Amino acid sequence: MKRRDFIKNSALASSFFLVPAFVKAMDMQLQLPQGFKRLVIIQLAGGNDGLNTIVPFRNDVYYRERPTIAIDRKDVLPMNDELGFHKNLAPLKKLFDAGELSVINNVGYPNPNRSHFRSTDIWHTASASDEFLNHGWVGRYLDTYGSEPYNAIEIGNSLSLIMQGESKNGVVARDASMLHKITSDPYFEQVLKYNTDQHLSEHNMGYLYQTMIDAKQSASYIYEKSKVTRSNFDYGKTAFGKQMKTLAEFINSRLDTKVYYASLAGFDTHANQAGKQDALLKDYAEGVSTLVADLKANNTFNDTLILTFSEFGRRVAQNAANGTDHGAANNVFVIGKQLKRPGLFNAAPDLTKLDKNGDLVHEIDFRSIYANIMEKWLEVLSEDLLGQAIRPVSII
Amino acid sequence: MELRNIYHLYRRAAFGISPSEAKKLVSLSTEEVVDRLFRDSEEITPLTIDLPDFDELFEDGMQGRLRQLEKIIRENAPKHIDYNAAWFKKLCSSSEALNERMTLFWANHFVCRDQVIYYAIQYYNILRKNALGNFKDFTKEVAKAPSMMKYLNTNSNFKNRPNENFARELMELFTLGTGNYSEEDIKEAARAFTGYSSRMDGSFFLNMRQHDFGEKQFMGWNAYLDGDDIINIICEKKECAQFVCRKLYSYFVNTTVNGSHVNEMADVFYKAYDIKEVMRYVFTADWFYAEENVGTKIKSPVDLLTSIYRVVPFNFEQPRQQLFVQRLMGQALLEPPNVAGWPGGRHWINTNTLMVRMKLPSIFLGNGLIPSNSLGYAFMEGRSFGDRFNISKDWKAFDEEYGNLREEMLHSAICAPELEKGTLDLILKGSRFSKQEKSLQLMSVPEFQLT
Repeated sequence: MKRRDFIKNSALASSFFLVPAFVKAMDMQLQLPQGFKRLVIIQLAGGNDGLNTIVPFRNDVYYRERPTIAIDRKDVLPMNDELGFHKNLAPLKKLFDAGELSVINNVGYPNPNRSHFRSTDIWHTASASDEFLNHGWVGRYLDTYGSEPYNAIEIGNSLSLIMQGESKNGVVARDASMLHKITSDPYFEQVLKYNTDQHLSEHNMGYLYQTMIDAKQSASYIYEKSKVTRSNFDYGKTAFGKQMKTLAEFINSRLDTKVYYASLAGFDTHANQAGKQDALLKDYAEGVSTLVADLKANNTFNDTLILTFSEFGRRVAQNAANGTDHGAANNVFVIGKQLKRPGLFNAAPDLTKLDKNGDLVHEIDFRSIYANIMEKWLEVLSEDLLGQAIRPVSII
Repeated sequence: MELRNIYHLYRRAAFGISPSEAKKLVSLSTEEVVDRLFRDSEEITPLTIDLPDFDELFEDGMQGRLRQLEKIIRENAPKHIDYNAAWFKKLCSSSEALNERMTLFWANHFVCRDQVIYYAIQYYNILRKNALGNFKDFTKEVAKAPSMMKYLNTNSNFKNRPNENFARELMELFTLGTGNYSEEDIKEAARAFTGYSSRMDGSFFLNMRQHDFGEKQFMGWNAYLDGDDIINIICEKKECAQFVCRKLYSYFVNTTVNGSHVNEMADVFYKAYDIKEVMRYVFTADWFYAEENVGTKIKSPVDLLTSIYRVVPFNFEQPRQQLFVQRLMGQALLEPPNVAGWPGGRHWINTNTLMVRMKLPSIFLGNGLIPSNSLGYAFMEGRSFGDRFNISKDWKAFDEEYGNLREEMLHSAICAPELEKGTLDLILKGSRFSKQEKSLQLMSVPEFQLT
């Protein structure tokens, strides 16, 4: 069955998704709400092992199931008498102590899918496990509320599903000055001038022309607006550090961008997990904490919320290769100044009540976090973007 | 065979064809041209580069000299740039074009990445050898390749604690697709692949002490099964043929998949899993040449580069720069992003990559500025914007092949889709430009992004 057929047939799909976005746009009074708040989404791609990130350092089951890869008690930075940060998350611990970080345990969804790609799609489209959607939720946000493609920017090489809407896509920007230079070739101006009627075509040709138009609009805007803002914080030399630096420069230039997306890959640690995950967590924590410091120094932190997720957690029991296989529920981090319940948001995972695969069972549906962020931060009706009413969980 | 169809066949099944070669084929039937394509790939040449350090070590009976191997691996790391360059050259110029096209497809199906160049080369040559062979044998050989065993952890899959990584991706990405197996199937299949090991020179052996000789309950079977048995059982399912054909269709025909065409293909493929058979079926099917399938597919970055090469042959004096360009567009040979490979289609295109892609021909072949009638061009003409890359280009070859083509023949030789009316007006309006400049203009319109 084709995905599209599936959607049509699925009783779960609300009629909302079948209404073309431009019709919706005509229906509604669509203007971005006053007071500028922006959301940064970071994906730890590959399935981060949440149990070795936020470590249950007094749990016997944890140590029994992970004889060679459990994190030693003495290497943990305690959050309370039960859970503690991996030692490389020391910069996050500082945010935690300052009340600028909420750690939400046991986040997932019913009938978890253990494929990276499918589970990433589920998180990106905010669908149910058996529901196939072709557009990401940020893309749907752009469809309905966006006015310019640069209202959502992915800092990376490709445009993820989360950023793809029906009639609008976010833009990819990595090097604003190079993009500007390339795009300003006078020939491209002419190509666009001579073509007017392809733009609405659904075919690949129309897609190419539309992307070209988006690129021309965004490239000069982002470049002109951000060229004077240069960060003088030290983000190190890693690719993720560079992404965070670009992010800081864009945010501190106060671009009219509501959602940013970036990802850090490599968390699929089936073998010899320790060294790999240690390095990645360090990379993540240093990058994000430098970003926060940079935003604070430029008075943009108050208006910025940073959400970090991974497509799934990993199995409680380790495997023979000193690694872990794909699991289910996991922790989510939310960083910001306006958190309802900073610190540990909820109880630690229950390692005695696992599903039949030996994985953590979810307690909080990820869509209820989205709903909360949509309502309270992006200030839009979550039902519009989620296709159904989902009770928000009160994080902000 | 019509010229339009010859161009289409060679663009999709190979890496394009020169106008003079295409002209020679017009008097042949479709079957004869397709036969020719297959005949050229009957003899397969592996692609290797010199790696004397590894050869010496392995000849000496290297067992136990792990430290020396590690040193050699480290010192030979930059060789993967050389292999990248050699591979690209082979894509552009090999007479085994169909086999190279298939190899590129399989490299994005049986996705694997190995930093150790010696094993990576072994792996890609396994793909070359089997690219038009039998899918079942192919899958078994891939499962036993040292690079794959390392990439998906089969080499650390032990009977006491099986590692599910390979078993899962085997079913999800290589053979069946999601929904056609259970979590239980994955666990049982993982047991069958326990003990898979390789010697330092890359040859396979089964580690008896780590292999699980117990019974496995897998897809209706309840017996002792090893890895090969699992692959045989999987291939018994028609869904496997369906899944692979769907991927072939989306790569060779259209990313918007036509279910009934895929079913036709799967009927052919399921009989013996003969890759040659199913590909011959595709290339001789009427629907392969239907309007909706010609000039409608977005080129991968590698396709884009080879199609520029087809117009004006170029050579990077520094292979590192070529790798840089591939990475910039999101597809570097030998560097797939993850086990699912490059998703392809519209995923290649975003605001960033599209502009880079349209600007490349003028940077590679011109002074970095695309010839145009605008005032801006007149103002900047003569200044060089493209001296960042050290590239030699063969405009003489262009003049011989394209220099005498009529206007519309030039368009169809360079761009796969028909030009949009606006584009046509724009190109024709610039009649003061030379054929060389026109070719740059043609390679810089969105139409050139399609194949």
